Amino acid sequence: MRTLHPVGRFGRFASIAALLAASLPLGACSASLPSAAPLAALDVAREAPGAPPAPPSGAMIASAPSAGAQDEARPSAAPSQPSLQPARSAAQPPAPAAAVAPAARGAKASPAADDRDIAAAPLIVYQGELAVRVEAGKGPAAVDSIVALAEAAGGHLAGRDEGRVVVKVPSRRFRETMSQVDAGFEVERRNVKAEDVSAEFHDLEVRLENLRATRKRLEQFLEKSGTLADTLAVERELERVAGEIDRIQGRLRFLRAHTSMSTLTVQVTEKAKPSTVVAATPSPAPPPPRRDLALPIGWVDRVGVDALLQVPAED
Amino acid sequence: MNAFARLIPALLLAALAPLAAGCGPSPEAQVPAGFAVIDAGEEFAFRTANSDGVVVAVRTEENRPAGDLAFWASALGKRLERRGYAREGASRAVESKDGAKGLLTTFTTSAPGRSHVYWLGVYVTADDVFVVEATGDAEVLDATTRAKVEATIASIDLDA
Repeated sequence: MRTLHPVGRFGRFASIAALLAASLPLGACSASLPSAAPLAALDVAREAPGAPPAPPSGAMIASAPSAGAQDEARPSAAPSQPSLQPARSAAQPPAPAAAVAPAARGAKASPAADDRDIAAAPLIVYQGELAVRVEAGKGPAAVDSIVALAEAAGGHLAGRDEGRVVVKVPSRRFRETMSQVDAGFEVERRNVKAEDVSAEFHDLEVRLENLRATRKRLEQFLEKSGTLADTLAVERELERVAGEIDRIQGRLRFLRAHTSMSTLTVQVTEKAKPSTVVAATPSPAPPPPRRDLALPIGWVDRVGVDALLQVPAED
Repeated sequence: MNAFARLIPALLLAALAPLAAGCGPSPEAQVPAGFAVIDAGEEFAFRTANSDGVVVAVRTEENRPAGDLAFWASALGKRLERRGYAREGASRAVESKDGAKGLLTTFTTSAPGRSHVYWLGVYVTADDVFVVEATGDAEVLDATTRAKVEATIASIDLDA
C-alpha cells in the first residue's frame, strides 16, 4: 500500500505505520499509551488516504496482542485480554502480599509470570521499626533471636551493631514476623511504613506490553520492506523500542526485588541492672564536746610540748 | 644587851634565809649523758635538753585545789587530750628517787606540725604537785634516748 504523504524519511515511515495499522483489527482501549515516536507514526498513518478509519491510537496499540502478534514474554495472557490491567484485576482479586513473593512461586517461574503475579497483588514495600527492652545482659541474646526469627521466615540479617539489628524478611511474612517480635519482647515503640508501588508497576507493565507489540510489528515490517531507506528507518525505530523495553524491564526488576523483601529494624535496649537502694538514714548530729571540770588553774593549760620547747633568750 | 642587839641581825638573817632561797621545793633530776641543764625559765624548776631538742623538765605547782595523784593525773591527761594529744597505752606507776608514788603517761601529738612524743609524770604531795614533762621529735627518739628520758623521770628527787 502506498500513501500520498510527502516523500522523505518521515513519509516513508508513515507508510510503514500505515501498513501496520491497516493490518491490525481494532481492539479495546488500553489505559496506557506507547512511547511518543510510534504513536506519532501511527497518527500519521491514520490520516493517510486509503487507510481504514482508525480508532484512537492507544486502542490500536493495546489491541496489537489480540491480533495475533505473539509476544514472547506473554504468550498466554495477551490474546484473551483486550485490556491488560482491568482483566487481571477481575480474574485475580487482590491477593495478600504473600502471594507475590518470588520464594512462594518457586524457582521455575518465568519473568513474565512474575510480572503477572506481582501485578495481581498490591505491591507494597514495608519498613518496620521496633524498639524493645530486655533484661540487663540479655541484649545480645535478644538480637540473636530476632535474627533467627527473620531467617525462619525466609529472611536474612542485613545489619547489626550495638543494640540494633536490621533484618530483611519476605514481604508476605512481614506482618507475621512483626507479630512474633511483638509477642516475644517488651515493645516500647513500633512504627510501620508501607509504600504502595502498584500503580507504577502496572503502568510500566502495560507500557512494556505495548512496546513488545510494537517491536513485533516492526520486525514483521522489516521482513517486508523493500527499500534501503525503509529498512534503515525501521531498524532505527526497532533500536529505540528495544532500548525502551530494556529500561522498563530493569525498572520492573528493581521494583520486584524491592517489594519481595521488607525491612525490619529492631532497637534493643537493656534495662538498668536493679540496684539495692538503701534509704539514707541521717546520722545523728555529733554530740557537743564533753564539758569537763573547768579548773581555774592557768598552769594546767600550759602543760605540754610548746612550753617545754620555749627556752627564754639569755640576756 | 649589846650582845643581844648584835644577835638580832643574825637571827633575822637566819629567819629570812629560807625565803631567800625560794618559796617552793626545788626538785632535782639526774642529767642523762648527752644532755645539759638549760634555763628553766619562770615556768619550770628544772630543765635539761640534748642537742636534738629532746627536753626533760620539772614544774612544781601548789596543790590547790588539794587533790591526790589520781585527780591530778586525770585532770592533766584529759586537758591534754582535749588539745589533740593521743595517749599511748595506759598510765604506768612510777616512783621517785625519794620514794614518792607517781603516774607516767605517754602521749603523741602533731600540734607543732611534726609528730612528737610527750611524757607526763605526776607526783603529788600534800602541798605540791610535781609535773615531770619530756618531749622530743619522734624521728630522733630512738630506744636509747627514750630509755634515758624515762630514767630521768624516775630519778627525780622531790625533796632535793
